[in-house]
Amino acid sequence: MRHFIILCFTLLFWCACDKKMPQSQVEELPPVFPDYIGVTVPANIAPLNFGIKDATDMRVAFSCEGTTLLEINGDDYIDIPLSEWKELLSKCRGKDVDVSVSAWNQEHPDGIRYRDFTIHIDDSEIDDYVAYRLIPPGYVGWNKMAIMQRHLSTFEETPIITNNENEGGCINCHNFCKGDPKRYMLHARNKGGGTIVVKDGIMTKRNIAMGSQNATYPNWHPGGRYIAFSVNDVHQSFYSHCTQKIEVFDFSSDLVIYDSDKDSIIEDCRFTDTLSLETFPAFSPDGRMLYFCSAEPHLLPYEVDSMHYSILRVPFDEKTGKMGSPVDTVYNARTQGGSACHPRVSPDGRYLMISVADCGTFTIHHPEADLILINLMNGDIYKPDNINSDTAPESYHNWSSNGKWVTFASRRLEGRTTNLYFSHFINGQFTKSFLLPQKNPWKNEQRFFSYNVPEFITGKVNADRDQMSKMLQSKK
Amino acid sequence: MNKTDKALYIVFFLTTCVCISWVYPQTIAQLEATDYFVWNDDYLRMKIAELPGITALLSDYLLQFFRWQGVGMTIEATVLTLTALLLADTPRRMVFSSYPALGLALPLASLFMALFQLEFYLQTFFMVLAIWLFFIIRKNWWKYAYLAVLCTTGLFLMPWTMMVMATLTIAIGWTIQERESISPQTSALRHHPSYFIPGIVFVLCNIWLYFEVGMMSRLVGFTPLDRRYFYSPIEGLNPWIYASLYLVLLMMAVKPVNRLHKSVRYGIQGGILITCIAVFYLICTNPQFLREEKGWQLAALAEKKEWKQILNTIPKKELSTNKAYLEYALLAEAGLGTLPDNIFNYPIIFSENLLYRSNSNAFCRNFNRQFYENLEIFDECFRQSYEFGIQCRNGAGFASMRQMVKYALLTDNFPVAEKYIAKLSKSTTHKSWARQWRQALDSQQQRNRTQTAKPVRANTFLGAYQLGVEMKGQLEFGKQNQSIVDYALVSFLLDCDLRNFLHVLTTYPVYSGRQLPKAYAEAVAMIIFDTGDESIRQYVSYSPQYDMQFRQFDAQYTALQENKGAENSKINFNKTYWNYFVKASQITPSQK
Repeated sequence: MRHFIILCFTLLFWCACDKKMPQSQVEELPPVFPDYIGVTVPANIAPLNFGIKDATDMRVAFSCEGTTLLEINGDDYIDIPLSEWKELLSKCRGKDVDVSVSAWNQEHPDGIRYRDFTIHIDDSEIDDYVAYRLIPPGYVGWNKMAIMQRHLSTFEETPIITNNENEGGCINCHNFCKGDPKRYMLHARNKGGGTIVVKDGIMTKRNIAMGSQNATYPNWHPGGRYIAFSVNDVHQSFYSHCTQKIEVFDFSSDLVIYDSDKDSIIEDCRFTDTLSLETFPAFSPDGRMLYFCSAEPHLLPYEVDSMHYSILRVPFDEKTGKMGSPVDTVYNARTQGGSACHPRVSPDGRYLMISVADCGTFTIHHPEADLILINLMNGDIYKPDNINSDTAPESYHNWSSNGKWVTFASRRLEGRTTNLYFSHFINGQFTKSFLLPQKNPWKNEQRFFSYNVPEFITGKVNADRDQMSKMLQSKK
Repeated sequence: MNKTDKALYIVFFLTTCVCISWVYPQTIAQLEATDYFVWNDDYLRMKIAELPGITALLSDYLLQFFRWQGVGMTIEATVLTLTALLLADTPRRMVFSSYPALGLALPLASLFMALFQLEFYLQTFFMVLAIWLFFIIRKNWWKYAYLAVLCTTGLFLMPWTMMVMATLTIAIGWTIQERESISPQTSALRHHPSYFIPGIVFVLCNIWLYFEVGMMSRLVGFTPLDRRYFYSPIEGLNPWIYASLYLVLLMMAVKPVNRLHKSVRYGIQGGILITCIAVFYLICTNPQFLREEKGWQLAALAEKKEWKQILNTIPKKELSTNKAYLEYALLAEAGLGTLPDNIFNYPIIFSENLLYRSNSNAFCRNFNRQFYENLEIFDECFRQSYEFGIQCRNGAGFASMRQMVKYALLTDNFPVAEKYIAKLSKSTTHKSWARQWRQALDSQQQRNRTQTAKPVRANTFLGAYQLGVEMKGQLEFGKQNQSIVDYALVSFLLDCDLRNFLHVLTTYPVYSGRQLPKAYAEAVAMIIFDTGDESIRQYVSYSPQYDMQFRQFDAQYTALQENKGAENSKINFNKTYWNYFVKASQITPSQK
């Protein structure tokens, strides 16, 4: 009997330990990583697991309209079960979720409860997948790299292609036609390299080049036949004693149209001369306009401060594949300042998003680079709130297919690797951006790789990697 | 196993441990430096996806301990000796006898053909272990179960070629076992069903394995087509030669013998001993390995800034044939501050040869890092460390990560330092290291709160221009120290750019109040003689003997041009800047 009583007390004590309560409360918001405080997320996002550095225990409660829906315990982070999170999302769609966080650590061994915060679950959904290139963060060399796809409703991350398939060569510049997982292209550079073009799931290898220079930055026409390319002679140099570490620049760059049906290049002498550099083409969603960046050449890298790219646009005729006139200036770097790159038009055709730095072409390496919006209806140019950071670049932005979400890359975590952020777009403004959710949130900090050129895709890419590998190893 | 066999095994183990770690300490240390292992989700997934993933993971885990050379070689010797012991024991498990010394043949071949390739040794070990385990099982049904497990999981431990070799050896051994278990009196021996079972099992296993490789490539990690089935795990060795040799050695070791003969035993033991001596002799005298070892030895000395030791270690005769020796000798001269005195004693032309500009292999990247460290340009050191790491097979290495932490701290890049410290703290061998560096990070962060911000951009590019212009850019930016000035001046001299040489010499007065070093004095004497501009003398001072010697040189050179020179009165100006200038001016840029 005595043993039974002791056992009962032990069990009671055990339960009491498990349900331990924080002994103090503060008015501060919890120092959670990633910072999900006050963010708006899509109704189909993966669990927003977060952590507190140096916490030994954490308890987090999610409640909606006064009802606690989910309670999770963790050590230095919480790992929300997928099914329970989905249920929470479905119950709270279009509503605010209150999040209560308590943590135990060396400083607060008896626990501390922070001020509650909210997460808004939006009514709208985000595209199912985002594709990006995972590359070592910068400089010249690489070893492993891959073009990956991440399911945004779960943590599933799978490769579309890795450089295992082309004997360790470089793979880059993936682009999807309107986010279609069956219509995309990517470059592979190595012996036997070329451009893999997939149309309706059928894969071919093409050698797309202008003279001896390979086609570089692509953008697929929404019609699915043409791809606009800039043909760049890319170089990079390295700063010392400066905040910026790398300068990427082009000795030359031109603009061409590739006809994927005829496997031929359509040149226009206005955009292939040496009087100006043209780069980063992007079609408007209706396919009638081609946007691109343009600048006068300078002696590089010495005069990189003088390199200012403007955003121009030119009409495009889908029937002939030719560019028309006039060439219109959408963002004039001379009068409006800075240097613009990566034009991306919203799916409704009303906004143009660009990344603007003080100078140069590769804004992702410029700490001062910010995302700028141009209202194409009235010409207003403004820097939206909530999406830019003060000290790190924002670039490689892309719109979701419904135009309600954007993704972009930023180096704001530690200045060196780029990570993916998302933000909700509503009435010409953005809500606070949030980091790509991970099963273990610290993975965002610890990963060796940079997320490069994120592109939304509407479904999963099912590429035959054996076929890709065979293609990339054949000389044909 | 008799005493001689045991002695042979002990000799093999000790020689592998002692001899190799004695001859190649730096090369062994590089195995740890260029590899990494951390308990991290991304890393573990990456390794498992590399078929055979578990062996790759285990190899990386063990390579951590190669930081201490003796421990590293003990691990290698243990794996190889265990492989030999299992091989020698296999026939006994098949209820036969054998010559145990033969077990050493396969590890010796592995050592000879794939020195320091721990992952390959482990793969071989698992192949042998798979065979040995099969023969310790007595009951047939357990044997089938074991084969099923082996065929489903074996590709995580060894490549397909080894799996085929293992299953073939098992099938042959099993057949022999079955044959022995059948009564010799059985007349229809050839038609006994159990005689065919191992063969059938072998075929079934290999059909399954063939499909399993493809399946694993789709599900676990993409295996390149040329490394999926039949290939040699030893780089550069023809797969047929590899497979034939290993199969023969495997069969030889596990071949059952009914009766042992003393003379044969002695013969085999003697043969193995001679092979052992020959293998270790060839390994320890391999010129390529020795050259690499010497290179890493120089790198280690440069790390400790033991410049005199470097100059004493480098064989002078090989300076013109071995670029690594030349580079380290010049680096040592720069470290000692004697580069401007002695530069033209070395067979160098063109400033770009003062470091490895276009060669991106790990050794060159490491040299470049040390080069820039002496100039205190730590951003570039960080970059070179990073590029060094990229050359490693996992895309990063312990050494590069340790270096990056150091340079991130020196360049106030605290979040990056924190990231790599956190990463390294997840390895088995860097716990205390991580603690120490985290403390350093904390104190550095406290100290640097009040420091002024760096410029976002400035013309401080590295790698964009020739070395002289690059160094001049550093000086103009305000990064001025004796080494940078010297490299700028020496580079301009090497490139025969006297205008820039004079500009730097007169603008950055690091030699004011001092006599100019030999090379600069020679150059200035030549410029003054050539231009007649005596005003230069107000900025610099040097011994008047250089003016006199240059006049002699000029007279001798003019005479030589006009074929008037008397051979016996000729003065040797070989190691002067004047001689270099005359010769280098005649070389076109492409020849440089």
